[in-house]
Amino acid sequence: MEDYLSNLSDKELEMLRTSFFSNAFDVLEQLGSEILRIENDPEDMESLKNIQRYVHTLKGDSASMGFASLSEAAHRLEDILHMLREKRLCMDRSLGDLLLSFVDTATQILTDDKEKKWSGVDTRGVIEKIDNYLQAGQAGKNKVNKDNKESACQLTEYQQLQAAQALKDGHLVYEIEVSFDPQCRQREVGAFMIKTQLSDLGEALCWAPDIEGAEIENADAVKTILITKSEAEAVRNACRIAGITSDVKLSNLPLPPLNSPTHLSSPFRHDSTLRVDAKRVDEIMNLVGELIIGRSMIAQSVYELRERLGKDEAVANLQNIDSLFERSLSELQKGVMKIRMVPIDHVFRRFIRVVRDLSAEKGKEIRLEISGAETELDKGIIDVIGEPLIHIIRNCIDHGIEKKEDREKKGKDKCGVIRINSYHEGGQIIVEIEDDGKGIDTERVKEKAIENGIIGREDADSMNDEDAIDLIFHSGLSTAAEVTETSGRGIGMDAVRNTVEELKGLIQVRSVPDKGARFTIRLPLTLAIIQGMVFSSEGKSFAFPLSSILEIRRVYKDEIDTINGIESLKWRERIISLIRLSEVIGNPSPYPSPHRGEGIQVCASPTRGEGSLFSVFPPLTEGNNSSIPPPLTGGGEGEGDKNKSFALIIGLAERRLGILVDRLTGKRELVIKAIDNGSDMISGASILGDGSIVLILDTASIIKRAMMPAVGANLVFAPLRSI
Amino acid sequence: MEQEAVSQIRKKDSTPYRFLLVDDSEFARKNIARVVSMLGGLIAGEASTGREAVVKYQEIRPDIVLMDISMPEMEGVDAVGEIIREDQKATIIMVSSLGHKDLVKKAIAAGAKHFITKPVQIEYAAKIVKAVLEGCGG
Repeated sequence: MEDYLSNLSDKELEMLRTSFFSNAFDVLEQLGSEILRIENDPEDMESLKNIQRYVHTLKGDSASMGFASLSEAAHRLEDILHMLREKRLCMDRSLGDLLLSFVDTATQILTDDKEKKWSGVDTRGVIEKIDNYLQAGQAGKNKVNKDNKESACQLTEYQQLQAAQALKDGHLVYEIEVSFDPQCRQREVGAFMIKTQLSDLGEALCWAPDIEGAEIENADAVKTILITKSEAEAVRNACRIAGITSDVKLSNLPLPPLNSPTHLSSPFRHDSTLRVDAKRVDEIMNLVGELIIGRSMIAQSVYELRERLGKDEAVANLQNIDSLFERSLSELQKGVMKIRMVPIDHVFRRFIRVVRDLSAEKGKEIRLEISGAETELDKGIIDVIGEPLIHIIRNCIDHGIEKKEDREKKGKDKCGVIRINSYHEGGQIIVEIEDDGKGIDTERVKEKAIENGIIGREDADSMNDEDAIDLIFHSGLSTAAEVTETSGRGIGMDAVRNTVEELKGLIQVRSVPDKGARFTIRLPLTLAIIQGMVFSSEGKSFAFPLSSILEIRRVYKDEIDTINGIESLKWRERIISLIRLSEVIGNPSPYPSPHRGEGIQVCASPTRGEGSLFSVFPPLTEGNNSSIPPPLTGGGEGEGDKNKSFALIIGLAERRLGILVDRLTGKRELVIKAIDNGSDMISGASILGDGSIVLILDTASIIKRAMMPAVGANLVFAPLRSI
Repeated sequence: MEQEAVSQIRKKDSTPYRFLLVDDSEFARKNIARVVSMLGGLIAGEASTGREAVVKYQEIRPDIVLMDISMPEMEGVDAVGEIIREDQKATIIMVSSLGHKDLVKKAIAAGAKHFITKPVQIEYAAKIVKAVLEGCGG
C-alpha cells in the first residue's frame, strides 16, 4: 500500500490525503453518534449495521493511507462488533466507553497527522482495551448473552423491499426456524440440504446464523426467510430431513411497510450528497455579491435615464429586464446561501457525548433533550458556535444541576434535564440552552466580582439579581481560576460572549432560583449577508446589524437627561447612555472629518478584489433614496427639528447602549464587503441601490469604545447600575 | 433422538433393497455393510473407485448407492454426476469424513439424496438410509 502511495505525485497525494481526512473525520463523527444511539437502544440493529460499516470503511481507508495501526485497531473492533451482531456480547456502558475511546483515539491520530503535530496518542491503548474486554468477556462469561444465542435474520434493505413486493404480489413470506437433529454432525451440509429443499419451493432471502460460517456447526437451529407460493405444510415437509432436522417452526414475517421513508431514502442518501470545498462556495457568494451591486447600479442608471427621457419604450424595456434580473439574482443569492446552510444537528450531536461523559464524572444523572436539530445555519457560524455552546452546557452540568441527593431533598426528579432547542425567529436563529438546576447563585457571583475587584461592596448591595447574573460575562470573573475538570479548557463565560459577539449575535440569560437557568443566543442567519438597519448620522450612512438592535425609539429632547455630563435615557426601567456616533468613532483615518466640509467621500468601484471597493471618493449624495422607501426622520420636518430624533438601542451580550440617529433609511439586505480601513469599529461596507456606500458598524467595538475611559468614562451602563 | 433399533425394510414386492457400496477402503465398506444388514438389505455389489462405481451401477442397477466422497480414479462427486446422468432416479447417499463438507455439498447439488458422516454411527446412518428409501429423507 505504501508503495502505491509513493508512486503518486505530491499533488495527487495531497488530494488523496485531503479527501481521506475529510471523509474519515466525517465517518468518525457519524460513528460517534451511532454509538451513542445504540447505547440508548441496544436493540437498534440499524445502528449496529451502520457502526460496522463505518468501522469497516475506516479499516480499509486508513490501511491504504498507511495508518496500519489504526487499521489494525479497527480490525479488532470489528471482531467485537461481530460478536455484538451475533448477540454473543451485549451492548452496555463499558462497551460504549470502549467504542467511543476508539473514536477518540482515531480522531486524535488523524488530527495529529493532518496538522503534522504529535500528541503522543497511539492505538496501543485502544487495542489493549479491546483485548481486555474480550478476555473479561470470555473469562467471566457474564457479558456473554447466552439466552440470545440465536441470531435473527437481518434482511438488507433490498431484501426488505423484495419481501414487501412479494407480499404485495400475493406470495407468502415465512420466517422459518429449523432445529437440527442433535446427532447431525455436519450442520453446514445439513443446512445446505435444507436450503436445497427450500429452493424448490421459493427463494430463501437470508440465513441466520450464516450457513457458510463457522457458527453453524454449533448452532441448535437455523433461521431463514422464505418467499414462496407454497402452503405452510409443504414448507414444513421440505424442512423435515431425516437425521438432519428435528423441529420446524413457521411464522408469517412482519415487515416494515413498503415505502417507509427510512428504507427508501437511506440507500440513496449518500449518492445525492455532493462534497464541495467551502471556499468554492464562498467564491461564488462573492461573485453573487458583485452581481447584486452591479444590478443595483443598473437600476440606478435606469432611474436616471427615465428621469431624463421620460416615457420611453426602450427605458421601459430596460426596466423590465432589470426587474427580471433582480428576481433571478435574489433567487441565486438564496440558492448559494442555502448551499452554505448546515443543520445545527452537526453541533448538537457532540453534546450528547459531552453530557454523557460529564454527568457520569460528576455523579449526576442528566437527561439531554434536543429539539430543533434540523434548523439550518451558515457553515461559518456552525464551525465556531460549538465551543461556546459546549461551555454553557459544561456550566449547566457543573454548576447548574444539583447532585442527586440535593435534588431529591428539593422534591425534584433525581434526573436533571438539559434542554437544547433551536429555531428561526424573525430572520435570526435562536439557540436556547436550559437546565432545571438550582439557577445562577447571584450571591456567589457577586462575592467573586467583589473579590476580583470588578464591583465594590456597595455596588453589590444595591445590585438586583438580573444585573448580578450579567456579571458572569465579565472577563474578570472567569471561572477558569477555579479550574474544575469540567471548565478545564480555561475559557470562561466572557469567551462565550466574545464568540457570540464576533458572530454579530446576542446572548441573554434568565435564571430562577431552584428552577434553573436559560441561555438564549440570537444569531444572524448568515455572515455573508446581513439584515441591517441603515441610518444616517451627521450626513453619513451607517448600518447596524439588525440582530444587535433591540429597539428603535423616538426620543424627545426633554426625555434626555444629562448625568455626569453624559446624555442618558430611561429605557425599560433602566438608565442607558445615549451617544452620537461621532463621539465614539471620532475621525478615524481614512475617514475625513465632516467639519472640514468634505463629508464622507466613498464610492463603489465594481472591481472584484477584496478591500478595493473604495477608491476615489466623489461626494455622497445626501438623501438620494429614489428606489427605496422614503426615510424616516426624527421630526418629520427633516433634520432641522432638534426636539426629536431616533435612538437605536443596541445590545451585545448584556450591555445596552443608545445611539442617537438623525434619520432612519430603513431595513436593507446588506452584502458585506470587507474593507481595510484600520478601524475595528467598522466591520465592513455595503453598497445601496443608488451606489452609495453604507458602513456597517461593529456593535461590539462600538460598545467597547464607548466604555473606554477617554470617551465614556462616566457613561452609564445599564447592567451595572440601575435605578 | 430415540436410540431404538431401526427396523428392517423391504421393497413393495417384499424383496430386499439392493445396495452398491463404494469406498476405496475395504474396512470402510465392511463397516457400512453393517448398516445394510441392520436394514435387512442385500449387498449387490462393491466398488473401490468412482470409475468402477459408475460401471458397476450400469451393470447391477442397485436400489441405492452408499458412496465415499474421496477416492482414487474419479472422486465421489464426479461419480454421482455420471450416475445421475445415466439414471436420473438413482438414489445415492454420500459417506464422508468431517473435512469434506464442500465436496458433500457439491454432491448433493449434483443429485445425491443425503449424506452420512464418518465415523459412521450405524443406527443413525440406518435411520437416514431408511428415510431416504421410504422417500421422505429429502
